[in-house]
Order: sequence, then structure tokens, then C-alpha cells
Amino acid sequence: MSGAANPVMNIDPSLEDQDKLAEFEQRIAEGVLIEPGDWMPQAYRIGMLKMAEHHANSEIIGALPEGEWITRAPSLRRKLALTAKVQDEIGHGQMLYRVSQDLGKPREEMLRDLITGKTKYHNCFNYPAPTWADIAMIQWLIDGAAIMNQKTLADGAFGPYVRTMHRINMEEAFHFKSGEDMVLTLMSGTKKQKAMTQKAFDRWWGPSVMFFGPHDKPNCEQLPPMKWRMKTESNDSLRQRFLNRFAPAALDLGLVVHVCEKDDDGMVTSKKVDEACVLDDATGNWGVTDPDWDEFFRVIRGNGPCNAHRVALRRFSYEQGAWVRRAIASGTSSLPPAA
Amino acid sequence: MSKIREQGFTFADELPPATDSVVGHYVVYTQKKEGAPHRYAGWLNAPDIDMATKYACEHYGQDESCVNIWLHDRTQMHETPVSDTPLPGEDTPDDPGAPTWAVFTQKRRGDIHVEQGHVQVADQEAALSAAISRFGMDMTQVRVVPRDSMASTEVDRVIWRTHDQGYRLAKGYSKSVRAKWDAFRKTEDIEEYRKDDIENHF
Amino acid sequence: MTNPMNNLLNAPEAILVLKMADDKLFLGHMQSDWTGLGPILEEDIASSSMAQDDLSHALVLYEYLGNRFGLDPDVIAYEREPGQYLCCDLVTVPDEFNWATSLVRRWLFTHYAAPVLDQLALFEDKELVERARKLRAEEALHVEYLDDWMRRLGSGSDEARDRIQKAIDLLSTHAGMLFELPGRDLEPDDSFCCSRSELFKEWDTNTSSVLEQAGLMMQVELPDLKTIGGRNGVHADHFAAAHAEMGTVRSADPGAAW
Repeated sequence: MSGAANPVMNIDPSLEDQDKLAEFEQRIAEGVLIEPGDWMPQAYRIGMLKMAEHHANSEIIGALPEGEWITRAPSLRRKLALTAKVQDEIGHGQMLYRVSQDLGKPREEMLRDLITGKTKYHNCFNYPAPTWADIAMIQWLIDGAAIMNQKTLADGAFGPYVRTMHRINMEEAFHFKSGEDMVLTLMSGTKKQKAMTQKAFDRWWGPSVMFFGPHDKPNCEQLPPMKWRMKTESNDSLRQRFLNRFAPAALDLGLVVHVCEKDDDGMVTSKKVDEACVLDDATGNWGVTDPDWDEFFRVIRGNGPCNAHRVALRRFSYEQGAWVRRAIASGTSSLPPAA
Repeated sequence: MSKIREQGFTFADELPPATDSVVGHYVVYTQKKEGAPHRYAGWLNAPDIDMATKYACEHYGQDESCVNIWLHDRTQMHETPVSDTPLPGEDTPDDPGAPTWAVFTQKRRGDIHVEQGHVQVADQEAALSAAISRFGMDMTQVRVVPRDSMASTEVDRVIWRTHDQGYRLAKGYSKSVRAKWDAFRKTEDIEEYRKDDIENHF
Repeated sequence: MTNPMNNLLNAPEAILVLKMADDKLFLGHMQSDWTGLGPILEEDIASSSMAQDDLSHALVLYEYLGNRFGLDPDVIAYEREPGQYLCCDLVTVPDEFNWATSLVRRWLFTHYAAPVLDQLALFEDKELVERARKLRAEEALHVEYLDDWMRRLGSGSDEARDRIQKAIDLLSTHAGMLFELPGRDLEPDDSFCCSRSELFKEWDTNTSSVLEQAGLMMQVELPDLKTIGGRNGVHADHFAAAHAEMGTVRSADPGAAW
């Protein structure tokens, strides 16, 4: 999932061969797909590498909040589904790292950069998942947002990344449906379940609205990354589509859309009804109170509730597994077949 | 949550040494059903082709029905550049004494490679040339791989599981989700909402 | 205890199915927790696949029992008292996040599961036979995968062999109890009983062959018939802890649909 809130890219097109760059930009504008072996600006090559790496990192860390609930899933089907979803995320990480590996960075280096905090991942995975309903909300709202975003990324220009998006989206469809199914079940369930679900919604609505990243710069479509079709829809446009889909759906389910204040642990300390979350009949758009962008940047910088712990857990798993990787590398390759 | 996930961790300053450099990269093609062409699925890291095969079965072989998987080391493939104009190629007749080369082609930029057949000629250059000539019409890229460098899963190996996979497929939830939404929303609102669903899924 | 559950727990043939289902449920439960935390991405994916197999196999068997006795498979899986589960305690020994332990545990178990599934496929109930055969075909994948890892690690570096050997030493003390017979309070008909010592011999032969190839050692004796353990509902604390964790969400809102 994810791929949004792209890492800030310091792209200076003036450093490239201007003729080749013009030709490249012409091809992009015509909708031609770039394949490895084609000429591409160095900034594009590095930008795609970092974008795929950030996306892969998000999958690897994204596997952790939901992974916490596998052992407590309340039915065998949900247990299986959650295990499969988390497994898919590792698979997506593997597929996305490949794109960056092809652009020149070894996979282990990327994992090491992730676990030492040198590279980042999507900030929505720094929030806590304290109840089972949080799992339902993550799959409904966050995977829902990721799908909207990834569909636009599949429209991008870089062949290897586009192919990966297509494959990922085919699995993402299951993640979302599973989330929908859980949210629907919970909101048709007991009083306790509905209350738990409302609280989880309060925790995840904000991060979902912020999923697509901060407000766009005024001329974003004329500059990379959009100009180079690394990204094909603006943050605000995606956000509006998300709101138009999920606000009325949440309200019809009987959920209340709140503006929430959270403590440093990511738990809601106070909330009030979001008066801005209404349909504007003239535009057909749903409104929302602008989220707390200070919180967004704080969390991205590593000071979110779960940043340290989740990265530490991933580092721990990496270090604990080092002997296995060493053993495989130590030349057991040409084993004779079993007798 | 399980105890291990809850605990706090302390680390040494340095990470243990990396091991990536001795890992191989293996390209994977999956076959959906008997008689269908093998199609590019992805590639993966593995110490050797045997382990790569097992990994491929559990990763790419679990997305949808799969009866057979082919793999090869990434260094074993030889390709034309991606070309928007016809590729130049010259055919030579198959020589039964020569090595066999599997042929894959990419139809358009952005597509995955698909198995087309094979050629049986002396060397890599001749193989690519013959492959272009026989299979390269209207293709963007042609790839040849020596057959004897490829691994294949056995004919009767179970890859796609026989027990119910509905729990991990979107189609396993569609009916249930639709029925549950009906209790909450008007049909036109459900249809509007569904427009953003992904239609193409495993 | 409701009547249908009582009926299940007192049917000699049913408890032979139940013990396999319980073994797989808890083995799958323990292994599924590794998803996302494995030592190598591709290996993480592969082992998670097999954890899902075990959970699915358990579900297939619980569904079979549910059909026969009029019970919801999730009720069978989640809502018995700890003393009513028939799994061998091997499957819930904590692995302390030691990958060697998780590997050896699964390896010891799969070599037991394969011939037991063969035996279940010889029963008269056609529905059971069909299910057992499908499960058996997938179990073969586990045997192949886990054997391969045991050989690679055993004949690889000293460090790897040492870790695997330590895991074997830890778990082999539990392995013998895989062969404990359930239902000691019942008087099973001979035709339902599977020959315990034959099963043990097959398991011992198959595991020994791999150990030899891998340069590893294991000594497991068949416990005598008087030794009681998991298969008769007498479980270690770690089983109760695993069972409680599994049921956390469900038991907080009994009767709810999830």
C-alpha cells in the first residue's frame, strides 16, 4: 500500500543534457512508457529509485501494525485473511525493492537504511493500532486511500514501476474488500463492536485524510514529479476524491466524523463533530476541517507514537535473522538432491 | 500482541555485516493452466535456482491458479533493446543438434514478457536473430534464454492450493460486502462508491 | 458443555481428526506470528504460505467435524476449555523469536503429519478421505521445503549447524509426545486405532535420514503408554497462554459476529 506523500525530491532539471531532456519530456507528454535502457535524466533515475524505495519501506513497516493482531484475530477466516494480507505486504516490499535494485541500489542496503532511520516510509504507519477495529479501519481507510493513489501511479511513465503497480493493485483489491467486510460486520454488530469501531475511526480518519500528503504547491503539475509522470494526480485532487467516497459512506454506516486531538501516544484525548464535513451541493464535494499538518511533519520526522518501536522491531528481526542469511551465503548452493 | 512484538530493544552501534553480494537474482514466469503460455511474474533474490524455485512457488505461484513455473538466472537472458520500430532479425533453420532457446516477447512498452516458443540454433546471436524473425513482428522487445539454464517445476507439483483460497481473494468478499452495504445505503450511493473499486484482481 | 461438543469429544474417530486439527491450528498460530518478521523477505513469504496452509487445514478439519456434530468450526477452534484441546505441546513451545526453533518445530511436526494424514485417508468416511488426501498433497510441500532447509543449515556453517542442533535438543524432548494416544478414557475400537509404533518408526526413519544428510543428531524415544500430556488435555502453561491470546478479541464480546 501507499506510495503517496512522496519524499521531497530536490530535482534540478538544469543539470541535465537539455536536448535529451526535451526529447524525454516530449515522450512523457505523449504518454510513452519509459523502459530500462531508455535515456532518462539522472534526476529521474534517482527520483524513481527513491520513490520505489520509499514505497517498499512503507510496505515493510506497514506489515507491522496489522501483524500485531494476527495472533488475536477472532475467527479462523479473519486470522487467515490477516496473515495473507501482511504476507502480501512483504511481497509488495520485495517487488518494489526490485525496481530500486534495478536502478542501482542493493536490497540489503535499502533494508539497512530503513532500520537505521536513514530512509523513511509513509507516516500513516506510525500510529497505534490498539484494538481489533483498528485493523478493520486500516484496511478500509488506509488501503482504500492507497488504492486510489496506486491506480494513478499505475498510469505513470516508468515501465518497471507501472508493472509492479498493476500486480500490487490486484492484491490490494483483496485487502480493501476484506477491510470493508470487517467494518460492515462490526457496524452491524453489538453495541460494544460499534463503540470500538467509532473509536478506531476517530484514530484513523485524520491519518487517512493526510495520507495523500500536504497541500500541493500552486504549479505542481508543471514541475517534476508530475511533469515526468512519476505522479499523475495531485495530492489535493486525490484527497477530494477520497473524501467524496468515504465521508458519505462513513456517515451511512452510522459513524460520526470528528475533529480529534491526540496525545503523544496517538490516542484521542478530545473530539468534536466536524462541522465542515458536509456536502456542498454546488460543487458535489465533501468538506473536511483541514488536518493538523504540524502533527504530520512531526510524525514524518520520526516523532510519531510508534516510529521508534516499529523500526526497532524491524531492526531486531533483521539482526536476529543475520545468521540465516550468512548460512545461505556460505556456499550451500550445490546441494545434491535428497537421497 | 505476542510477547516478542511488545518488548523493548537495545542494539549495538553497528549492524551485523551485510550478505547481499552472494545472492543471485532469478526471473520467474508462471503458467496459469496447462497449455497456456508462461508469463513473466517477477524476479527474486535466492542463493541458487533450487531455493528460487521454492520461493517462486510460494510468492508468484500463490496469486492465482498456477500449474507450472519457469525460472532462470537473470544473467542468462539476452534481449534486444526496447524498440518502437521493427527489430532487424534473420532467421536460420532449427538445428536438432544445437541448444534450445526459449523465446519471450514484450508486445508494448509496459507489458510483461510472454512465452512465444523456442528456437534451436548454435549461439546467442543467432538465437536472438531467429527469434526476432519468427516471433518479433509487432513486438517491442524479444528475449531469449538458453533452455538448459532454466529450471521448471515438476508436472504434478501442487502450486496453487486446493483448499479454499477465497479468504485471500477480492472475489471471496464481493457478495458478502454487497449484501451488507444494502442494509446501510441506497443502491445509487453504493454504485457511486463502487466506482473506485479495483475491477481487475486476482 | 453443550451436547454436540460432548458428542465430538467422546467419539473415538472424531478425536483422531480433532488432534490433527488442534496441532495444525496452534502450529499455524505460532508460525503466522512470524509474518513480516522473517530473516529473508522471500523466506518470510514462503513460511507464511505454509502457516496459512496449517490454519486452512485446521479449518478444513474443523468444518468436517462441525458438519458431523452440528457445531460452528470457530466455536470448536476457539471456545473449548484448555483441557479439551488435543494438540501436542510441541506446537506451542515458545520459540523466543529464534528462527531455528520455529524451523525445527515445523520440521518435526510435518514428518508426523504426513503419515497421519495418510492414515486418515484410509478411513471409511468418504468426506474425510477426500479432505485428508488434499491436505496430504500440500503437506508434501512442507516436507520438501523444511527438509531442504534442515540440510542447508546442517551442512552449512558451523554457526548454523550449532543453532539448529540446539533447537533439536530443545524440541526433541517434546517430540515423542506427538505419538501420545488421545482418548485414554474411551475404549476405542481397534479399527479406529492407528498403530502407534509403526507411525513412530516411519517418523524416526524419515527424520533420521535427513539428520544424517545434514550432519545433525537427535534421540527420541517413544514414551510409554502411561505418560499423559497434551493429547489428553494435560497441557503446559505455554499452551494455555497461546490459547488465551488466540481468544482475546472473541472472548471480550462473546456471541458477536466478526
